[in-house]
Amino acid sequence: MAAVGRTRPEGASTGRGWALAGPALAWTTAFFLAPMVFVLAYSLFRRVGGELVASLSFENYRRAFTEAAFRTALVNSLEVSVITVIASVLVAYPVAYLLAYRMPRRWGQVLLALAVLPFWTSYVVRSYSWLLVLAKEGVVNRTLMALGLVAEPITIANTRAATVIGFVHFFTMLMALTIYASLVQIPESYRKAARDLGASGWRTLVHVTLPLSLPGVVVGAFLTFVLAIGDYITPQILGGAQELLLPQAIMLQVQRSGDFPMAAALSAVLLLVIGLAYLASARRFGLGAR
Amino acid sequence: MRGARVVVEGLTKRYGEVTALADIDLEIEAGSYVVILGPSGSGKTTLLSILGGFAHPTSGRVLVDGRDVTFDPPARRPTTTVFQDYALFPHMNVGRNVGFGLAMRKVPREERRRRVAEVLALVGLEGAEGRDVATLSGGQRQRVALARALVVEPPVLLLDEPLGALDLKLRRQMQDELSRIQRTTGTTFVHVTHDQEEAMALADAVVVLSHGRIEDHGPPERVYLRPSSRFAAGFMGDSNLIEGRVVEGPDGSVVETALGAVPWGSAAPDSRVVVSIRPEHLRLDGSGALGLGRAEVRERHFAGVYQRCFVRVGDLELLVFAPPTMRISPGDVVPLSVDPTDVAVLPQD
Amino acid sequence: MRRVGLASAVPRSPMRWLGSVLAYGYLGLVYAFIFLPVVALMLFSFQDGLVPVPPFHGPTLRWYAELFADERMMAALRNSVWVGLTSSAIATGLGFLAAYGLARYRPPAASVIRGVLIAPIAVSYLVIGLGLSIVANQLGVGRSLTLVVIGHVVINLPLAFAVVLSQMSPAQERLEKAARDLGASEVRVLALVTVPVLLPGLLAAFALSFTLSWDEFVIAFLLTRFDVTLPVEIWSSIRTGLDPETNAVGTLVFLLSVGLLAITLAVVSRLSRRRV
Repeated sequence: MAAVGRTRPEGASTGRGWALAGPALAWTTAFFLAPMVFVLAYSLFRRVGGELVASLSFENYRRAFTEAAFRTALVNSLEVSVITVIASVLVAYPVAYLLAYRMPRRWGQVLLALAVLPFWTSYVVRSYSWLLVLAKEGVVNRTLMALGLVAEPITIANTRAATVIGFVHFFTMLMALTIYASLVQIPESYRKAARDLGASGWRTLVHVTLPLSLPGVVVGAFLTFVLAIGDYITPQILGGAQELLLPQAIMLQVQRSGDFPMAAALSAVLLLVIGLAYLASARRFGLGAR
Repeated sequence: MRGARVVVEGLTKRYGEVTALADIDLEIEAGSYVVILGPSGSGKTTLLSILGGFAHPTSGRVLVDGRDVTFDPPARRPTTTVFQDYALFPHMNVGRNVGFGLAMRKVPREERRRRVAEVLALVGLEGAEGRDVATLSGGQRQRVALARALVVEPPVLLLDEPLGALDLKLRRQMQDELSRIQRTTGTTFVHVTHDQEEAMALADAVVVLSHGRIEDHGPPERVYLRPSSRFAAGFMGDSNLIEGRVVEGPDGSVVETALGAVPWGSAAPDSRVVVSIRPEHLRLDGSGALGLGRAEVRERHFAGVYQRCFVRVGDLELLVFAPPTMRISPGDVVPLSVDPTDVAVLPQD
Repeated sequence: MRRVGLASAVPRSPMRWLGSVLAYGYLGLVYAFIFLPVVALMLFSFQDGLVPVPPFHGPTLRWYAELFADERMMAALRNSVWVGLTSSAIATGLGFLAAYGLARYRPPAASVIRGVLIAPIAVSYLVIGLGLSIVANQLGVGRSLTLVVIGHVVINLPLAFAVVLSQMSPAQERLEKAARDLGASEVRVLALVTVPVLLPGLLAAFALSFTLSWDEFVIAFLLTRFDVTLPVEIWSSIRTGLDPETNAVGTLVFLLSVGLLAITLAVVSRLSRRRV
């Protein structure tokens, strides 16, 4: 973005830079930074007997990591998110590969746009439509029964499997996008050179294409993990009350118990997990000079 | 001699309505350095792709050392290609890049290391195995790409405008390097370029392509001094092209042009031809054996090694390269002459 | 089929043919998976029956009629549009000013400013909503659509900022310099040169913000009580089970979103083509 060779503006102009960015900064500070500080502060308070006790304590965090309900929620969230990431990569990569390399560029772009179209259903509506498909009286069960393959409807909705299916549906589209973008950026001459030097199609994939597309995969995987682990809607609609994930636990604290401090602490844990995920993957994003 | 002999027979390539190559016949001697020269759209890159196995011809054959390889995939062909953008794998260092072809051929690690070191020394990058590809300069990348292609000892090496991305000085230097390497290894080099100076500097034989057809083919000196076609005359350096007609004269056929009669041996009388005279062969001091009338100097620009002059004879405007020390000014009227051996008569096409 | 690069005119061996069949079969399966819920949603919005599941009876427009008669849904739809337009306008405006300030004036600590403005992207909507909820409680401010607008600006500002920033280039700067050189005041430069040139980027940022706001659930859920946005209203109707009217509103939302996307792409590409 730098204007090459530009001299530094004098004081008045520099002030102007701050002035222009000022409103945006003010908004972010007032409505984002300040609330985040409140969240962190609240996480150290406690709610005792319906009253807010504003003395500092790590009680909430202790409970978050030791109380069975919360610990289970955290573990469940991690498991579901990791499974989602892995499944989405496995499903999306071959799709992105075929669209990027096995057809004329135009078709690939059209098919990609098509693949991403359901992305544009409202997220809530999208999860609802999976309920339509997976419910006891839903599309899958009715079809199976009509075909005589099962006698009784099988339970898919309100299970972890349903949540994962709902997630994988959404994130496969996301991953297909990021992986496709990564694949088409690889100059074709690299693959030609590999083939020219004796690599088979498979070995070209393993030695050249895969490593060079890795940044796209990592970006997609990171986004998937972060969005999945923080999502309230899909587990609530599809997973039901059988298994609680972290966002649902947070919501329960807000709505049922009115225990904002506990909700805040759980949120802080969520942010911590996301932060760790970022640290683990940032290096592989491939941003900047290669 | 490690190089292979390449023969192209009746090669045609059509993309729908467009004909990229039209019935190309070519013989490339084993161990020679052949340059395929042509402007963009001439089909030279298509030809190279077909030789390399990245495209298949609509009809025709490619034979390497007598074997039909027309439909062989690049990996199974006795050719390796140096790509225009070098295509060095950014996620591997120099050593692994160069050794890639050997690794694909399952060459054991020790031998691989030895051969990589040898070929890097050959291209002047001794000890560079550990370097990160991203830190290399343009010239260095070029050498690595070359090394990677050569280490597998291909009988034929294909180069797709390998020097296009380099600045002038570096290009001249690399041209010498390429020549030296080709002579050392004895591999048949097929090099595609649009730069005729490059072609003349490197080639044992030049193939001039235009619109998918071979316009001329031969040693650079012959193609330059005695071009076979109007296109070749115009593409290989500057040339003055003058229309003419063959007429029977008392001492044999001559070509009637606006500059007078030019002796000419064969060709049917009354046929229309084009006379080509290179600017450096036209003389403004009356020393040539064949007089061409008096010329008025219109413009003169000093170009270091010569003076670039535009002169007018009658209706014709001609380009002349005069010696740097000759006194000339716009407005001078001078005798225009040429040595008859420096005149080429080409078919009108 | 002309394939660029690796040639394919070779007579196909049975192995390669099988490979192709598997490849395209796989693609087919994945696409079927991707479209299954959307197709079910749309198909059964025309269900002539009480339950939007097979077998399919109909078609009928009954549920769409019920939808348009449903005052709560329509109010929620209007609210969503209002919230979307307002928050997108604010986000795009603030983002544009900030991007302009950073790109043209290069203040010191620019990277800090950039970091602060982009930071909200890293935080889950749930936490952002919770934070605003806590602050609102503290200040005794009741839940309302206005709070939702505020929250949506928080989540959209980083994106609008990033999109506009990516569109700024030295070439544009030269245009502005030329305008100044020819006598235009700062305001006129902004109005007559900067904004028109950046228009595709601004529209893209606006459209992106609107799309995200229009579909956003969690923040809207936490910050509203009586007047709600469309996703929240849909959520309530979902709690009561499978209902073809929900299918109808879902189909409508989908078609509107896709339509909006198509229009945005067309407009942006039409505008971009005018670039010299």
